[in-house]
Amino acid sequence: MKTNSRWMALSGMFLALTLSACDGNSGTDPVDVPEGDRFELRLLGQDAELYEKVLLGVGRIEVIAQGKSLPFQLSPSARSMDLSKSDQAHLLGYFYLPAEADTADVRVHFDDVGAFRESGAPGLINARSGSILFTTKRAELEKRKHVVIQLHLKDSLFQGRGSKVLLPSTFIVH
Amino acid sequence: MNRRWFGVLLGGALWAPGVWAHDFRAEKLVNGVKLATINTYPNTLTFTFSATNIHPTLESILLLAEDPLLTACTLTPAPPLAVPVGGNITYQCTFPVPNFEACEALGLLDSNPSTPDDTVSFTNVFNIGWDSGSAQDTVNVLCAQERILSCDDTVYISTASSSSSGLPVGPSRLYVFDPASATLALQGSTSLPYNALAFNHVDGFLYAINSDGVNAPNLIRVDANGSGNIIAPLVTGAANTALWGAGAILGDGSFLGFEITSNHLVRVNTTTGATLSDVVVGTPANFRVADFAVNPINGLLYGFNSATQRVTIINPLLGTHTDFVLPTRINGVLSVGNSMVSAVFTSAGELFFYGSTNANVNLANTFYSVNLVTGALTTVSTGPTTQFADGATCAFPPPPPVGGNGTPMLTRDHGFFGSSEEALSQCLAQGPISLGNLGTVTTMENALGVLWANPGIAQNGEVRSDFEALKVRVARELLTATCNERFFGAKAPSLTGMEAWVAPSRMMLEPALKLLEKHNRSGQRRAVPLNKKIWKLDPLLGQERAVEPRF
Repeated sequence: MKTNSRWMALSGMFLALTLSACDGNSGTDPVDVPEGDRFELRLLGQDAELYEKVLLGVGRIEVIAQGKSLPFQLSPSARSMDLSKSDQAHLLGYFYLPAEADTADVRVHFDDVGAFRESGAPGLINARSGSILFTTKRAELEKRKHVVIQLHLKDSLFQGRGSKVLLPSTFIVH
Repeated sequence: MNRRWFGVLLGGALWAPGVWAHDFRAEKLVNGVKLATINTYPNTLTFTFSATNIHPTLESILLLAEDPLLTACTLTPAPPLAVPVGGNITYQCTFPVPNFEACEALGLLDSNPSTPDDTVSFTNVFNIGWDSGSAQDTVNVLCAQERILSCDDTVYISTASSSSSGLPVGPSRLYVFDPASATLALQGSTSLPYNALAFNHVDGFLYAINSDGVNAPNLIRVDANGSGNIIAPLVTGAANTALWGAGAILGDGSFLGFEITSNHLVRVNTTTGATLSDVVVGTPANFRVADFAVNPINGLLYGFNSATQRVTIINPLLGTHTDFVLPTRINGVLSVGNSMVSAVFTSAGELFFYGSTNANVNLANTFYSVNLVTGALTTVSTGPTTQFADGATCAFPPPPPVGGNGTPMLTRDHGFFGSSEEALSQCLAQGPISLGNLGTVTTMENALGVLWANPGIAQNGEVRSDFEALKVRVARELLTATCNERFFGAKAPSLTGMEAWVAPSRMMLEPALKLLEKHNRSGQRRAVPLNKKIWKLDPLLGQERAVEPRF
């Protein structure tokens, strides 16, 4: 079927305008002097079993304390992580917890689609509803200055129509 | 959706950390599974929450158990709780779901800001805590209004369990087979053992024969949830010990069932269950088919005669059969001792089998395309092993819909086009795809670069701003919408107001993104036509080849 030419023309014009505006302007949002104590957020795959590769990328991360969203510095390593390697805790980034905050609510949203290879066969991961939500306490964070999400792959990936669906089974350790 | 993603703290007293720093495992299920689809109403959703002490040697103290859904139920016993080694605390919460709206209303307790979306109505996270850590587990539910099945190339496969004496017993499970990923996705189950599955294009239900080789058989109707309801006892000259294996629906909507013990072929009215005819086809020695399907072009039944190792054609009214002259070859090698437990015809007149291989004639795990001239089989994909399996698909066009919005268009997301070299190359073959300042996308590598672009982080490791991330997401959805139009014929949405985007802004991009995402995901539950021959998806290869343009 032919493509709707009007729509294509408009979309091309739209992108010409939008994409040209971003040359040389990539990088993080300005977070020059974040206030508070810096803590690492890491993600570790566990129980990979027959998975030879499990690639997921982070879409966005929110950290909330005392009802306010905290600055989060995303790490480049969060772009595409092979979680089948259980000896590597991937750095997702850093957040800055205000001194007066005792807890932080963390939400990790993955990019829509991931990929895996299991017993030699590749496949897609639907990660749209696979967000990880938890609360971490300052007292625990201060022990090692980090919080690690252990994602148990065996219990987190389930067969849907044509793809595995990510439903995280997680442990939070500090 | 309720954005209060941390629900009411239950058992809220947090004990001071002691020496008991031990681990629990959280587990949550809905109706016994992780992914539940509700198609029929009234229905019930039963959530089960458990916290298991997985410490190898010590008792553990459960301090916290919270879930938005638990707020509607009594939590007994409530934390804090001492749990012995290997012990667990289990809570259960049941919600009656009288209608679709009630199902969606449960989503108000959703704890996940990413849902609802077009594939999941709500997701709930069960969170447990102890003195030095926490654990979470998740389920999701899709509230649907698809009591009847859509008539497309979806391949349904049913299986039954086996008794110690090798006879079929419940539960029977209904799956959707995806040839590209060679996987079976569970749709639901019933306690009735059944076989001889067939798709009725007239009413959008599956029909089958409930038999266990002991009791009298019944004609049953199977819905989209895999639930089975008895229509009527099957009136037939076959004994109760007969094993019914093959089923099909004729163009007039009547059901055909065949058993391999004494070779009775019955034709049944699916509304009343009345037997319209009962004939004997061949003998078990010369005619043995585990399934057959109706060719929509000529109205004849096609199956694989394991007695002769040939494709065979059956006249459904006369009860005569004719084998292909040539013995079947599988991938060029003569078939020996094989059985094809599922046969499906598409409305385009293509025949497929699911069955065994020369390498192991006892495992039915391979999907074949069938050459209707030579009777030769070619492997499409190797899937899971099945037991007492049967297959069905919609071979005839359904009656035109009365009112409503009709059938949704077929679409796929950016992951599909980023994984199918066949689909993406056909999309690009129709001409360059203009993506403005990115240049014109003409190569697979650049198209893959757009489709696999991470919104947050560029391929070179640069972290994008929120606005750049938005543009990346719009770009990949635009490319996907273009390919959905070119490859599947799903007309892309008209983006009203795009002419005004002289100065692109979040206010303009966000609604455009929502529109495109909704469109690209709207037809994901429809099957890719088998004549598209999408037999492989390899997202890892797509990611390796991707060359991301500068956004």
